[in-house]
Amino acid sequence: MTRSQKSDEWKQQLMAAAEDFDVKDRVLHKIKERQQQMEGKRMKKRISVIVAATLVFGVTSAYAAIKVHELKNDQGEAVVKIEKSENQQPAAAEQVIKTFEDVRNSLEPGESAAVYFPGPDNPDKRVSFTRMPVVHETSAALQNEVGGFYAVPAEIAGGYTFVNGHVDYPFNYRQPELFAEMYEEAEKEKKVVVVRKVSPEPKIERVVTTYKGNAGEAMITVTNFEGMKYISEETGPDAVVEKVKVQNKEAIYMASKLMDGTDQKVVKFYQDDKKRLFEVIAMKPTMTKEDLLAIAEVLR
Amino acid sequence: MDNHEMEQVIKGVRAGDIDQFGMIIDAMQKPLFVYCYHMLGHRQEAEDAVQEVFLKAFERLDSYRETVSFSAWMYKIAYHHCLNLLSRAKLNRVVTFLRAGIQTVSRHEGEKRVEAEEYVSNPLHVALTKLSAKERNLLILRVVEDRSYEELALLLDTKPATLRKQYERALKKCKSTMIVMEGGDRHDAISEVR
Repeated sequence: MTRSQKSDEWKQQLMAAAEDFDVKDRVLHKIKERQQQMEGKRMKKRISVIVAATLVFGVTSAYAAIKVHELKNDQGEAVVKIEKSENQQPAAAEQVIKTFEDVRNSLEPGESAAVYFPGPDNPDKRVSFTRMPVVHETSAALQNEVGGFYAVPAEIAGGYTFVNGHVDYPFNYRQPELFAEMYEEAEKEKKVVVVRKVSPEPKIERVVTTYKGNAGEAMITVTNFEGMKYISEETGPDAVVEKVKVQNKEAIYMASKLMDGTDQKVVKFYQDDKKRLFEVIAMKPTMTKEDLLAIAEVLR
Repeated sequence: MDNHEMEQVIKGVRAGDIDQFGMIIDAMQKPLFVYCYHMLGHRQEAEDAVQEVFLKAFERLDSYRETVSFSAWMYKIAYHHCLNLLSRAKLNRVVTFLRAGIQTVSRHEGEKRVEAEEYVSNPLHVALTKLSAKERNLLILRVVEDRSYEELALLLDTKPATLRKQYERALKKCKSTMIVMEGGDRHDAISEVR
């Protein structure tokens, strides 16, 4: 028997295991299922209290959650998943944050952009998104844009009055051809950041409002959960995550550090009938958990 | 499927046509199953692994560059996936059991026992279980996929000459195992395989 025949004999023995093996339908089904889930999922990261950008730095991939806190809807499904890690939350490089904010500041009101940072900090080649919203200085002007989605209060509990507000519209996170162009441009021109203007979808994703009172400023965001399954967030080991009650329903209080190192306090609660997630965020450290809960209690 | 056809299919999938990924699965699923089966020594684990490898490949498709062949890129994903599985304690126990040749396992691992017995009924399979994951990877890619040392060098980031030595060592180990199992009948045959 020749050497080639022996090789074929081994090959046949090894290949024999694969007869009748077929997982095509199962794999395609799983892919489509995951795609649907991805469409209903948003990974939200805050660089700072002000810039509530949807940021997807590669650092998220190395993150190993040890505990997941969930806020659930009336059907018991998680609408917010807060993944707490035993490792310190990886901070984005100062330069990356600065560049990201520069990109954002270069946009005209109403414009949005996809931003790609190549390099070892972004091994999965993720593309982040940012926007410069059209900011309204009165609650009436904001109400015009918001329509029936949410009744924007001019004043909230504790004597906090409306300062400004805007509407965020959802990005299309699945643009493989655009991403491929951005990767190519970064590679060819050795760029540290590649920016492309993008058009968000014309559906309200979130209404963001700021209020001012004696104890400081509070931000209230109302997120539209139509077509969205859940929002996922990450925190470090020092974060405080507690179950609290708001409007007789389970809610979450969280105190954590943001990517720029500042502290954030927030109360989150979900309105199942209107499919909206409320977040009441302290803009100054002087605001307490009780201040936030008092504001949340009367929001409708 | 030739390289040009594969490029077109990848382009289609990247543009959002998920069903075109089915053509990649058709082309790659059997060789990948063979690879995972012999890396893991367990049919069900291999079946699950192949599905996970395809899912990972789909998710990372944008990062694929034509510096290596697409199938080589898939094998790299499969190799790391199998390594991760092997590092898990449960599967490690099964491999240890195979290596030690112990014939009994706990009731909870009844299914694995049947699988393990099926796997070790073939002398060549037994010989593979005696190799390290790295050696098995090399041997399967050489024998089943006919990969050249030059291509494997790109894939494994190791010099071709080093891979050749490692491959020869792996063959020797297989030979020793099969001599023990078959009383030397296969000695000549094994030494002749490439």
